[in-house]
Amino acid sequence: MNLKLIWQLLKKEATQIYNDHSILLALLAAPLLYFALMGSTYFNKDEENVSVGIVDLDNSHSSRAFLNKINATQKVDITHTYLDLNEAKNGLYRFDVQGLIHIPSGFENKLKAHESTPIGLILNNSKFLSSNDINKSVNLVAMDYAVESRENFFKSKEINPSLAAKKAQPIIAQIHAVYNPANNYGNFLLPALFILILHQTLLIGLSESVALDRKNNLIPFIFNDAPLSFLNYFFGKTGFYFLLYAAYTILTFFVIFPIFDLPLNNSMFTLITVSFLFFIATIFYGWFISSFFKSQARAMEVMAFTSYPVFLITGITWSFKDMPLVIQFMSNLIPLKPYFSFLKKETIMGVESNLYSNEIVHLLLLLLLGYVAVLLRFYYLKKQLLNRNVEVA
Amino acid sequence: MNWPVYHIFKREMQRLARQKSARNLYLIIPVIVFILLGLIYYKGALREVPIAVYDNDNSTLSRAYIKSLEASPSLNVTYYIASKDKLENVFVSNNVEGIFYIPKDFHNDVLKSIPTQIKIYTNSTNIVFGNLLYKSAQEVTQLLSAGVVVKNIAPLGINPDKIRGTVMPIAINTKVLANPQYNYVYYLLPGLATVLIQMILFFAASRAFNNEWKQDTYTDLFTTANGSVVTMLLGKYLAHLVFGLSLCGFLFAIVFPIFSIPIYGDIGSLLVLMLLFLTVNIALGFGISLLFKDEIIALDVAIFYNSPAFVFSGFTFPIWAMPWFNRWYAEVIPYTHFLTGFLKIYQLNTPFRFIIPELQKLSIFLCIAVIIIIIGLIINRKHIFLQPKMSTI
Repeated sequence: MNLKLIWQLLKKEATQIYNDHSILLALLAAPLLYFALMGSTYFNKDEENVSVGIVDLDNSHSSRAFLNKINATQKVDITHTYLDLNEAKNGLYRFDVQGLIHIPSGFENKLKAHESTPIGLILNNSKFLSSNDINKSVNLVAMDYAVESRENFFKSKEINPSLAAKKAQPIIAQIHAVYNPANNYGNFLLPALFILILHQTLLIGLSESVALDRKNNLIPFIFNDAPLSFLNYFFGKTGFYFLLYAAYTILTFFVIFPIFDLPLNNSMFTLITVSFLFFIATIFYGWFISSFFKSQARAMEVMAFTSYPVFLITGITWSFKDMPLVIQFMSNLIPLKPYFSFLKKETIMGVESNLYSNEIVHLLLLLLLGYVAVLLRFYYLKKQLLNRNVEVA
Repeated sequence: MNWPVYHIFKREMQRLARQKSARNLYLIIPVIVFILLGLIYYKGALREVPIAVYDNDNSTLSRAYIKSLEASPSLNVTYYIASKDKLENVFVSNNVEGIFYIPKDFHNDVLKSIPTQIKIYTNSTNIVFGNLLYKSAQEVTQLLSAGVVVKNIAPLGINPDKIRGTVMPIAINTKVLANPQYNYVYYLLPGLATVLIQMILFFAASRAFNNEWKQDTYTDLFTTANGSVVTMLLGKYLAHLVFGLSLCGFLFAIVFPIFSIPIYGDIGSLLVLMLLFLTVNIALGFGISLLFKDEIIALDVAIFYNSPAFVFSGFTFPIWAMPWFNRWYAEVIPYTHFLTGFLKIYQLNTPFRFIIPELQKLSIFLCIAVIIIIIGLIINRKHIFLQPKMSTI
């Protein structure tokens, strides 16, 4: 390896980035802007006060008390009162409310007579989060009524109040949402989202630069410049990206995670080291893919469209084992997959190191795969250039 | 027919067909990405989430409880925890998403009317599993608890007709509108695919004019249009609209049927909404293209503006739970408003009048696009309004 040559190439790359506003924007402005813009979207982490409409045809003390209890829950806010179901349906259609509670007449009488009292709950399930929250809140309040009713029954049979309370709810499900105690959306999505932002901006910036080199015949020029070995070229070309994203990694885990109150449960050294491996693998992949483009704009366009697929294919929002085998196979070829799994286990769950060693081995294998792919591609381009030069001569 | 418009339309269709970039955007990316997204979620709903059980009681009642867990379609008991297992590692080492801990003396405590708690730990690093486990655990536990209560109250003397009303006084009849199957393909694929359509059209349109300058073909365009900017805009608009509508056709007529995604609403209303949505994005893209002579800058602007559209649309996380700036940003992206109208028609099957507010908002975007186009025409007038001499070269 020729360190002087690597340093020259590194400086050349830095100058190219500095002079190209688009690459500069992708590498320096976009990560920070997206951190702020997209990260802050989930700053509150969870929703509260989902708007709900009511149709209270009973309009009794009991129905109002029931609705007040629902309104007192953190997640639900009764914002609209409708006179009938038709009017309510229109409110739902206008998206004024996400759900409707319909209390039929006779609610209070049935409740007092200890008869089963049906109420209607209509949910707009076009957005799962709000629909789930309304459903959960209404059911919890109904459960409170059930416990109270059972307790009153036992008391009426001259069982002492303390025992009556115990008999009313003999088995309780005590549910603990581990690793995300509030079971909120922010803690679930933000760690992966921050990594995705870094991953995508790196891919876009690098692909633009490599495509620009190919367009301007700079890769052949570099070959001609000196008899470079592959490693000299690669370290020189991508060293700047690695250093920049190493800095972003440190920023992410030391500044961004604490700002958003995200868990960092295990060894920071392991986390940073594996993150560096991940970014090296991403650089290999990025260089390999972008070496097929000769247009900066085309490289940008294609990379911009990979964001959603590469994020979703990792199974971060879905059950990985429930995806088709071919998709699982493809996912396993992407460095984000083992890295997300590692991040979850090491940083969020804080499990013992032997439980995430498979992910590190997986990442190393992908790094090797990326290296081989880049090496072969590099020598292919070199051979192509030499052949062209022979033809010209 | 205005023939120059037809000539521009034909010229643009041919230009787009020849361009590698347009082929990527209008053909390769949607085919790959739409199908990929559908395949990721092809199972639709989560079933048989793997759970582990620690039965510290090993009694008739605890076994009955485990049988109830096994009978639940959402749960699958895949591991029985032994006393030597470290509870904190069970999630990872046994690939389970939930742990159910049945305490010692569970059965005896129930018999003695001592309330007993079943501890349930959910792996909420993924809230999709967390929410499903919460719901299923509550259902199974409450059912068993209610069964115990019924057994306890029967001997105390109660009218059999009143048992249900006493144990569960409020019966919630839930009606789920818009995706009652809780199917993730129905939920996510249409949303993701339509945001990609917005991005595709916007990106392609943002290179409609500046690419002509870059390729030195603008003079030909100007001449073909007889020097009329309106003709140029109209001809190009129609060409992009044809491509946009083809994308919609591919989505609704091919991708939706492949993944059995139903459209509940009126196709005519959907077409009106889609037409306006496509028009807005094409027009905004044209505005950017006329404003920024450098197509790479135009593309940067298009990527930066469009990339967060899905996150800000309120589809997976509600807009009202976002900080004020993000709420404002969400409002200035056309996709946010399109999505509301789209969900109203496609999932709630609302009459046309309910999407009028969204159509009005999209029309405002169209006006803004026209203003941007005019500003672009003014700023780059020297490059747009060619002198007669120039135009005849």
